[in-house]
Amino acid sequence: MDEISKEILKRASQGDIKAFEEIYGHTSDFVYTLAFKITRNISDAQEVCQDVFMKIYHGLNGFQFRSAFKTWVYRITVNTAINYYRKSARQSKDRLDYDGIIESIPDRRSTAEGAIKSDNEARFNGLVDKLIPEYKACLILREIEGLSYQEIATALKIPINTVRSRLKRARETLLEESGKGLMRDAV
Amino acid sequence: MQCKEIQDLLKADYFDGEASQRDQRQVLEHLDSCGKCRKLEEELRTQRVLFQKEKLQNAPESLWQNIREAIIKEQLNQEENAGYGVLSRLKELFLGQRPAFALASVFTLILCIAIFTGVFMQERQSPVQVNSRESILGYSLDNGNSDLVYGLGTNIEQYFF
Ligand SMILES: [Zn+2]
Repeated sequence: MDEISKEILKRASQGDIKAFEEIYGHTSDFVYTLAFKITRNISDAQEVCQDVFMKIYHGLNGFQFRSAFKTWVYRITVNTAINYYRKSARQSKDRLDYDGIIESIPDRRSTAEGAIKSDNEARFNGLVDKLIPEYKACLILREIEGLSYQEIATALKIPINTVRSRLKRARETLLEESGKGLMRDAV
Repeated sequence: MQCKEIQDLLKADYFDGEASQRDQRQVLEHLDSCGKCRKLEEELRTQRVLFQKEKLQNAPESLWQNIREAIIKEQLNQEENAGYGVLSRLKELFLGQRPAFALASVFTLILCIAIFTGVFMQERQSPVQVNSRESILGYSLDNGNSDLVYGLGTNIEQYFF
């Protein structure tokens, strides 16, 4: 996500819809991707997005530029998506369990030669989906957005050590749960 | 350093470019001589590639339209409450983005005026004209309602076209 000029932010905070559209253009793909990766459901992701952008619109007036705009957007998006995920009636109880990082291990399917690659990608994504959302959010901010530990800590208002341990635990879990040899063949 | 410490660094700080230079050097030296840790590093890299592969999702087009409408509706309500700005917001809503829609709105408006004046100039009316007068009066009287904005764009258009 690129940083957005103060001028645009100011105009948008005064109700300029064109300026707000520009903000949307810079941030919507990230917001949507994160919302989708956390909720795993297109209509939920869209609702999260709408919610996030209305929050941004309402919050712009009070935005004091003490933190970077994008850090603020990261925080709103992660919190909104996680709240949505937790509230969603579709989620089973054990997914709500904070300690249970992973819900269940999908069966290792037998794969034909040509299907190994996509099958492993799908399988890997299936494993990622089952990480609890706080871990997923850290991974997305780190691996997709390329944020440093400090930036993630600031965005999510958590200690740096928590960022470190969430990333480490998420990676360990993915390693443990995936067929390691198969994973290497997949690339 | 033992394998355990090296692996802790591999799974977090070293892998994320957060390790000190000293730690980094120690990890590199260890990797040269330890196949087990080298294998772990390879697996972590594979994992990263797979994770990054699931590409960014593009937000659907309709999303912005929904958000834009929600904001404009809100602005309208605010200004409505303050008692000003109806015309300028109507203009923004209708002429804002969709040229075809704007054209249709203008055309509808002209048609409305034409029929409206026609209705008053005629003494006797056919049932169709009575209906159209009723609906036009219905909308024109209902000034403070924000639904009016959407009603003008859809209902009357559907009625006439
Ligand atoms: Zn080792």
